[in-house]
Amino acid sequence: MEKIIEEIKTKTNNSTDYIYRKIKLGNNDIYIIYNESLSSSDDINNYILKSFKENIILDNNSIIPSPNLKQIKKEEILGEILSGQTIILIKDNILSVETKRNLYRGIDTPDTEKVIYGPKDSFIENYITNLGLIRRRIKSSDLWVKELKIGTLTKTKVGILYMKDIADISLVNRIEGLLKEIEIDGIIDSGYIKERLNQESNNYFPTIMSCERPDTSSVALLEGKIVIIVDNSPFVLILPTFLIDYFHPTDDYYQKNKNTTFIRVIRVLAFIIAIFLPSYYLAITTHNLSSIPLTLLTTLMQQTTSIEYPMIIEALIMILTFEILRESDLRIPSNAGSAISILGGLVLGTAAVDAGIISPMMIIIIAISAISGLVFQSIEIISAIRYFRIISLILATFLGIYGVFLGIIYLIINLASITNYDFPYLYPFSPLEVEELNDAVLKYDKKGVKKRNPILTKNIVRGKNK
Amino acid sequence: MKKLLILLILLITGCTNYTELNNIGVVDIVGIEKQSDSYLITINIEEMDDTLTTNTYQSSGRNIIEIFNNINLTIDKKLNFSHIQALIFNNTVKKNDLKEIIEYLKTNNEFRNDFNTIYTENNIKDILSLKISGELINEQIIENNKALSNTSLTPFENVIKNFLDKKNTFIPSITLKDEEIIISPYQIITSDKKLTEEESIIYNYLKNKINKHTLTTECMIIQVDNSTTLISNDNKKITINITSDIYQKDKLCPSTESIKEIYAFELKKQINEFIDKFKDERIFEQDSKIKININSKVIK
Repeated sequence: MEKIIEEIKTKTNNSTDYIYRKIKLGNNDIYIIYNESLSSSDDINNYILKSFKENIILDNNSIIPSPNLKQIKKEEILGEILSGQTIILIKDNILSVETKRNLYRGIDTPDTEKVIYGPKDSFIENYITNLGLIRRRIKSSDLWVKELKIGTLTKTKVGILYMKDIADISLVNRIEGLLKEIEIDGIIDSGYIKERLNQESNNYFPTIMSCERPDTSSVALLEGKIVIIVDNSPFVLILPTFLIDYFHPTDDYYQKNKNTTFIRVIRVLAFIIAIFLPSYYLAITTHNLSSIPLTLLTTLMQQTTSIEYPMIIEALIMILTFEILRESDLRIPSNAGSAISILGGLVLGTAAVDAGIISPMMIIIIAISAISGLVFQSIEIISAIRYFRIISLILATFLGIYGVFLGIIYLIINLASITNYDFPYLYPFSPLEVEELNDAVLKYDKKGVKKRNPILTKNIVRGKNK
Repeated sequence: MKKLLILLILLITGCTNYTELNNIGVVDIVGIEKQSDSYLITINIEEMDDTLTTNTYQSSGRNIIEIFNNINLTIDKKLNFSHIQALIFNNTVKKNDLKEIIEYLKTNNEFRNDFNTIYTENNIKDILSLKISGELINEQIIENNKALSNTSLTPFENVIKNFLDKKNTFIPSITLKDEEIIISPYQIITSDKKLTEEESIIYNYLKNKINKHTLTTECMIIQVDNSTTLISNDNKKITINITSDIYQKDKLCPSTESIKEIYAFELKKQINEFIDKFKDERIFEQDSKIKININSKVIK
């Protein structure tokens, strides 16, 4: 036993958070080993030490009231300790007792995907809790989980969730194969896996959705998609995703169809405005003046008299300033957020106009474009919008309206060329699936949306599962 | 390769049309006149100095292309012709000159051809140096039409269409009097024929542009509040149907005829005289049989 303890001490460089206790019980020496940062001292006192006091003899059939007691091998000791287990060395037996300390926060409301109507719980950093949040919604034995451990050092638990009779099993196997191929020291967050699973690394649009809402994940599972849960990450991954998924937050299904349709149309408009409004403004004011009414043109001329910079520089300064403000607003504590908004929105904007750096109309245009981009919850969609906004802005500077149209063509080519795990990204628009259009931009009566997405599953009729 | 191609496209296409807003001059009015063998162009542009100001520039050249090139060289700002409100012709512009002007403006995509055409017998520079905007002149013509129905706006598109159909165009004219612009009746473009007030009103009857009109007959003053004209052409049989809302404004002598009969008789007479006088202007196809129907409703 001493030899085992010496070995552990050597391997851990005698780290002080490893606790070794020697207890004399009758003629036997018992050793208890645990890591005080990972194990609960209350559990150790209540379940292990109390048993010893009451002279309960420990062996393989122990009566220690722990849900997880097992005999392990010598080489498994360190791994067990690092999982929060307490190791009991008694005679020649090595026993592992579950005494994990609760290091997780409670279930909270989602931070990145705001909910107005609908469930307000969100995933946390605990794998089992996250799995439970989904299982609580889908009470079916058809919800299967394939569990893997990824990371040579972190051995992070990764679960592939799918509905047995709905999901495409070949896709599940393909993803499992890709996950098994990952050779990495550690997985700290689901983002690590997302990067590895991303099939379109050169593209700016997201092909795997990060989601912190259990209801959204459950809906995805019921559609035939695959959900990947990663231990220690409050974000699960949903794949495959289509562009239209980013226009459909789950709240859409908790509201009246007419309202949802209206909001979806607004989102599509916001997407177009976010990308193309600055370039369109630049094109018509520098190349295609004939499309501006005379009174507006003279007003714009008056506004730009004192501006010395070319319009493209004005636009880029504004875009850059907005991005800096947004980034700082994200990083600083929320109680300082309003101060940043006032400073950025009011003081800087007014000062920039007064100083003759930016024209008021340019501020309006960039502000509308930036706010339109924020309609989307996914930070990756916002980044993609930003990229295409700048590209079309540069094209418009050189080529005017012709450049804006080139930008539109470039965007469409880009979107149409994304094949995410062989699924077309622009589905159901390209290839056109008329039935799926019932729930694309417009949302028709639920009676009309009786079928699942036929591209994802062969089991397309909803509500017919056993 | 893709990046190189994009770079090439940008470099080859260049920034040829790129103009910053504070480097443009928006042309508001263009005036064209002839001086012996050369053209004279006068333009009013709205440009930014410290504030938005209207400035008048003038240039000359042997042909229409040259005058537009020269005026561009005269001004250090890039001229924008897409917002022209009015094109003013002087009585020095003749039929052949008009052909050249139309061909230039029609084929040049800098012009939109939706501006209005105006005729004057005055020196164009004298009119433009009043710094009156083209929009204001157009508004005055519209107001005149609403009150007296003796004129109306004539877009350049109509001039082009009539020119291609080998017809003359009736355009409103303006006169400068005591540094004020007076809206005058129609003038037939490239011809010295100027319409009287009454003839202009009859022309507007035929073009369905009547708003208000006071018709004075021997025994009655009739006020027309609203009038609609429909002209049908069936194999050289032209039928003019005029429907008007009328009322008696004043009675000058006793008459047994009703207001409707007097109105129909008088209007028909004036229209026939007008058609007869201006038959060379090809308002209607020659050798056509014209029938006039006048219906009226007494509203007061």
